[in-house]
Amino acid sequence: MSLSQNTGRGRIPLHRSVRYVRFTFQRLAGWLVVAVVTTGLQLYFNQGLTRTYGWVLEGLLTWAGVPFEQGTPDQLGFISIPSWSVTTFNPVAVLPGALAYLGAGLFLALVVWRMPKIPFPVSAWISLLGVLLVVCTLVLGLRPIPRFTPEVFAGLWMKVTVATALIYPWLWGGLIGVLPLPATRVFIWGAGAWATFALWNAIRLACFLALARAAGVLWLPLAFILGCTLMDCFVFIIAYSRALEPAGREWEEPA
Amino acid sequence: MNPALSVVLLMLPFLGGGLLLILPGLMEWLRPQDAKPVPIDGLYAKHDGVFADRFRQLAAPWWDDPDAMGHGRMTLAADTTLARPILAETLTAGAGVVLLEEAWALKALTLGPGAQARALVSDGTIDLERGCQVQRWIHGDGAVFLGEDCEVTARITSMERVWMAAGCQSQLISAPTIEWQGPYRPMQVEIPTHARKWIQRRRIHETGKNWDIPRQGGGPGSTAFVNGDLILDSDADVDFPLVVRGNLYIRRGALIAGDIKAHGDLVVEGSTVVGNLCCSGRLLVGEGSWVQGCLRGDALVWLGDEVVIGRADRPEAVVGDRIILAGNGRVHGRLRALAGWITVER
Amino acid sequence: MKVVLLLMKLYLVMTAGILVLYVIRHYIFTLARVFLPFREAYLEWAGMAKPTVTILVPMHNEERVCLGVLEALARTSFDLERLQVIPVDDRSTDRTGELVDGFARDHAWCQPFHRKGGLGGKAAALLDVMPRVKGDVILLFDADYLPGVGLVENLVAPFGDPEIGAVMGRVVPQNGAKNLLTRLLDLERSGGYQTNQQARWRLGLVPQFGGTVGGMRRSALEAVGGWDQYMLAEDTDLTFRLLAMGWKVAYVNRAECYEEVVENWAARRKQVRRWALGHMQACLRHMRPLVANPNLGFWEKLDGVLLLSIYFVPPLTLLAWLVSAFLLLVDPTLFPPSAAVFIGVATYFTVGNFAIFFEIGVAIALDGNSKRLRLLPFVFGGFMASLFTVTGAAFALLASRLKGESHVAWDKTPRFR
Repeated sequence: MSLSQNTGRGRIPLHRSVRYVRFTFQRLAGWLVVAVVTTGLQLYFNQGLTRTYGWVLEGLLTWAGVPFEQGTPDQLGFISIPSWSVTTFNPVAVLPGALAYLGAGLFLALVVWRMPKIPFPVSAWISLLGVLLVVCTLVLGLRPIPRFTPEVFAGLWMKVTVATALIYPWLWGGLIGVLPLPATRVFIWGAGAWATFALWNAIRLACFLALARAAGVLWLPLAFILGCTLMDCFVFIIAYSRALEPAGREWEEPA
Repeated sequence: MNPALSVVLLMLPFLGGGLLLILPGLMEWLRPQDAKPVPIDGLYAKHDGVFADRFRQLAAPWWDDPDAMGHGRMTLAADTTLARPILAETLTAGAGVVLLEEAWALKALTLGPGAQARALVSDGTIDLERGCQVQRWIHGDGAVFLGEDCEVTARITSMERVWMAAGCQSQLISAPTIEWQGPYRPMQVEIPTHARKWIQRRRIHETGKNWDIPRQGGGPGSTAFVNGDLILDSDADVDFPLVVRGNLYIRRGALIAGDIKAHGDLVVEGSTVVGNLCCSGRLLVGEGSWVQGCLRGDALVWLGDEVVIGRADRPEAVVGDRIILAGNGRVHGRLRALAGWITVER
Repeated sequence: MKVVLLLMKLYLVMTAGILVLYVIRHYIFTLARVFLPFREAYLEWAGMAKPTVTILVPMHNEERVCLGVLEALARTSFDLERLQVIPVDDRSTDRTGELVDGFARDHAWCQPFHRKGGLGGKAAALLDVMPRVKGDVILLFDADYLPGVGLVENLVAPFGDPEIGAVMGRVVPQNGAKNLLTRLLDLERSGGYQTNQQARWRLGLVPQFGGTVGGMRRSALEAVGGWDQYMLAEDTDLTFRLLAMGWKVAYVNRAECYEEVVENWAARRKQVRRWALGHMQACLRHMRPLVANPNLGFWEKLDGVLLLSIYFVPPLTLLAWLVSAFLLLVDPTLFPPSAAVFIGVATYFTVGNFAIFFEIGVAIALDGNSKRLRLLPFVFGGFMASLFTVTGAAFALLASRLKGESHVAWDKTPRFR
């Protein structure tokens, strides 16, 4: 990353106050072409993405030993979305499961209570988790099959995820595409970021679906937002720590 | 399978994925590589000859080099092209000479008509004849003279004096005294007809009400704010800071001793102003004005004939996106065009 | 029950709308900072305009740091003839007063002021010192700050424009490497100043005067009625009072000054709590005059409103989470499933969550510290901490209003040097 101006005899760094990035329409246009092509490919193989999600999800459920049934596919536009139902699985239905839940919740509470040296945000998260575990146990014990089942939620999120994957190249086009980068790098990073995002969405969705069923639905939104944020940070770090190239008027202020 | 075990198993990929994402962060936290505070440089005040000084520092050892060229007087024939830096006591170059690297003269540096150079520095004077082009900067410890239509891309600085003929242009000019001489066409300004007028000693009767400039808070030195266009008439006497949310037209003879700001155009017909002038539109300073204060016009600054800015013992700054210098005039301090050029009217 | 559910749903929709508004704001600021050319036009005046300047340094038990700031000021490039520095020894019980007096014996421009009683708080101390102020421009530094050589000149330059009532500089943590908290605060400061404040200034909106590394025109301060000792956030209060009377606040990113950030979470919580309380207090006082102000444009007003109410967002969000959890269990049919809803939610998850990180990331990249970017995910932890603290502060304010108290107690930030 270079943040300096050429004086003809070596470079003088531009002061950080006057650095900025030059908007280049060509790069944006180039990225939009990439976005059109990738979106078009997705629509053409309309079920490719959702089928990948399906495989990852099924694999995870099988691996974790959660019984499930394949349901009727749902539609989003002309993309067909697979769905699953998990109705015979309640972790607190058996005593050891219930004890594990309550025990974990109480243990976390104990940790926060007995260890005052823990940094505040960590203890805030731990206590939140502990409270939620206890609440989840109660909810699952009192209402074994909530009206809003995680499957419905997963169907919703599956749609959200597909929609996200479709609009993703476009939104990022506006952010990464305008950076002063060679077109090849924009293409490779863009495609890479898009693929990572799609795959991560699948893993995340599968985990959350099963976790939601297992733990009740209460803390799903929180964890989902956390996951999304981490993902976004990751993409951001990849893109921006390498990509930002300054442009200033030559002979702007030397540092 | 035990439900609790299922939950744990399902959590593993998620935790693993999450850990992967914060791994770079963990590494930076536990083994910091970039934890120092951003360096704040000591002195901010600008020294405009900074590029020339850096070059002189860099080139100082070259004087001792026996192969270095031109220790004494150096003369270049017309239309020569040189691709080496030049260090000489005096340098005289003929018409159309091209210097691809910097030139440094100890006493005097003269370029003939239409010469081109990368950058010029002289411990004495610099003299460019008509139509010279300098790609980067010029700095003279002594006086700098520029003939007609000379173009210096970045900056012209002098410790003594800069003189420019018609058609010269650059982006930054700085010297204790900057003078120019170009043709003069008086400014064409439309005076807003709906503007309110204000005169110090007698109030204008307007729409049935006496009108006075309202002052904020009323204390000494407190600012007055006026909405809409305003004309300060020739016997107006302003001795407080004034902000006009519109165009401001100052008639010849008005006495201004306070900082003035206009949200639109600011036109000074020809007055003595002690204080800064500042506007978001065009700033036009008419013939014969003397401004002891800094100037800033966001769109354009136009300085008319016989305008003087600043005093020899107290430099001022003129800042605008573009600056046009018309007729004869003088600025003590610096001129800076932020987006376009400083041009002497041609 | 149906009515309650409907109200809950309406509340969720409203909160989502507010959050989206803030997200858009962050994006506009960040993209503006990244892509718009920035010119420090006022700094061209630095060193040319020379008003008389008084620097006030409030000190309350600052024996560990008080000499640092004075020694740093002694090196300033500003003309000492036109400078008056008043260390305000505010009811100190340690050696602060003694140290400051010792320093003043060798430096004529340093004229300490000792305050023995009266209300606590910075604003109260500043109110008492005002009769001694001689300068046309007043600058403020906290006792733990280390102003650089050219800082005073750069802060004074914008006052050449008569419309500028107050000027704010950039604050840079000097002890950022200490631990995770200070590193996170370093990131937050970068985002807040390099991106947020600078973009607001560039776009002609409302940069905020931060009460330190900045200053105000004395005549403007007097015109708006001086300091209000009952305000916890006297800086925010002053920003909006100046705005109400027509002055603007300028932000000078190049006027950078080292500060010391808090080093433990307990102190951080106290600090955030104080800011939150003060800001909310200012919000209640200034919201209506701000909206009614005829001198401000639509965008300035909108930015002002969003700035004033920013500390109300965490309690709103926390409540929204609880409400949504409840609705999930009881009645999950918030929206009819439609493509527009999906795209909206999906868009929010793709870019919405990310706005504040984008802002901080851009600031750090512009600062040239690319490796520091890796800490970005941890900022989320910091925000969670602030979320709870600010919510607590909101309840405290509500409680004190219900009890009819007019002001809340002030507590001092500890020093770590």
